[in-house]
Amino acid sequence: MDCARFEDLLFESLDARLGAADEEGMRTHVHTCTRCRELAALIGGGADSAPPEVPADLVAGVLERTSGGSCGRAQLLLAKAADVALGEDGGLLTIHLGTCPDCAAVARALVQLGHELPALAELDPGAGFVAEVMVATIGVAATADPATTPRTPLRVRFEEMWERMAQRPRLAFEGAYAGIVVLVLVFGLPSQSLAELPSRAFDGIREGGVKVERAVSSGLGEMVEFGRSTWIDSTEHAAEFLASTERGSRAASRLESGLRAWAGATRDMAARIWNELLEPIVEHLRALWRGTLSDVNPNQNQ
Amino acid sequence: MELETLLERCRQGDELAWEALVRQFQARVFGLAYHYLHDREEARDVAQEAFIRIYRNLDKFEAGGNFAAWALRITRNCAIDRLRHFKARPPLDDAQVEKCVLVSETHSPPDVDAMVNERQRLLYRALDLMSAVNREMILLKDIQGLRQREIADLLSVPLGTVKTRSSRARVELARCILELDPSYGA
Repeated sequence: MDCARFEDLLFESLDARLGAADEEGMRTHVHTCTRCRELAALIGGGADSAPPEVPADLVAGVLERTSGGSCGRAQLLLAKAADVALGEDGGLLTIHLGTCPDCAAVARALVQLGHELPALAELDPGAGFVAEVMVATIGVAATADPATTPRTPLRVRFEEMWERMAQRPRLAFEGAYAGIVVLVLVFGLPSQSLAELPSRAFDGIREGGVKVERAVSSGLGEMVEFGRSTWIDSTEHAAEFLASTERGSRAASRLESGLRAWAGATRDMAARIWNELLEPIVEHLRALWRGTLSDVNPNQNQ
Repeated sequence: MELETLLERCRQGDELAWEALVRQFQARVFGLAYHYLHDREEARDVAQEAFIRIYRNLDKFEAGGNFAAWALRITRNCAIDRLRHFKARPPLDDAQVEKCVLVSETHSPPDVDAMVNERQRLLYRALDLMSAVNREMILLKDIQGLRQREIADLLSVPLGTVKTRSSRARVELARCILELDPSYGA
């Protein structure tokens, strides 16, 4: 069978069945003629004809020159699939994923993200967070959670309690109120044995004040006298020591006379300090003290 | 105890109920604050501030609503306020500048290492690569699990915008994570 006869029979075979002899002739020819084999494959005839291989970039090329790439829409559908059913789009997407490795990778990543992202929703804020919130909202610490919270030492808990109490806005008012109540209960009721305590306390203060006044005046005098005598005695001792050891020396006798003169001047100065400065001050303090006591308790001062 | 019952007891001043509520939602509130601020201490402060606002506004929460969405909305507002505070008051020294940059732009501070595993660290890095708008959508929808209507109310945008933005955000995240690890999901 030649190529012309093969072509004739090929087109006839599209409309009607051929005889067994013609089919056998075509089968034999197609094995020996490449051109007729390709022709049979294109037209679809021929039992042993193999279909030509479709170029890999054919679909992409067509899409590029017509509607554009479909990966963008495919990936949006993939993302949308997590929320709604895709319907007919699902079938189209399946076809696309079978031929597009990039979108298939995105599909797998989206599935994995759907499993892993919810785990990021919760993070542990750390120990003590609930206690801080409780103090900041209702002003008391949270109850201890033995599973997660270590037991706080007693001293620390006491300090925290004290700090919370001290930070209460009405603490000063409550303290003042409690103090007044205590004072009234202790001193204000006539039946209380301590009711006489204030007047007795004033008596004690007054008597003590007199003692203090005397102690102050005598103490100051003694202190001045002690300083004066100590200084003068030491100066005179130094002069006598010099006179005994360096007797005859002109410089020593001058130093001795100088020391004695210094001791005399010091004695006079101490007397003037006491008489003109300290004694008036003590007298003034004494007068002030008496005036204060007479204001506090005029009956007893009279 | 049912959440509604717990909330009702909180409104009546039951301290134990309030403590239970705080314990129940602390991880989510702190988690959301951390995703916005990227700093553990700042997130802790913001989470505490959020709980204070929640406590003061418990009476305003409508019965039957989604308490988690309401609490997360308050947390987001607190976090946004804190970020505005950072922007309004520029730091004075370099150290604070670094911290401010850390808070506003990056997502992998050292303290996150202690909290997450290797897998989650990859997710954090991928989230870093995303645009802020899409990242927030992932945060609210895919991480916190809010509904699209709740997100629309929270962000004051139309529902259609949320739907569109949500799909785009997922695709962007998938691409980002495939850039970092091409074998992710395989």
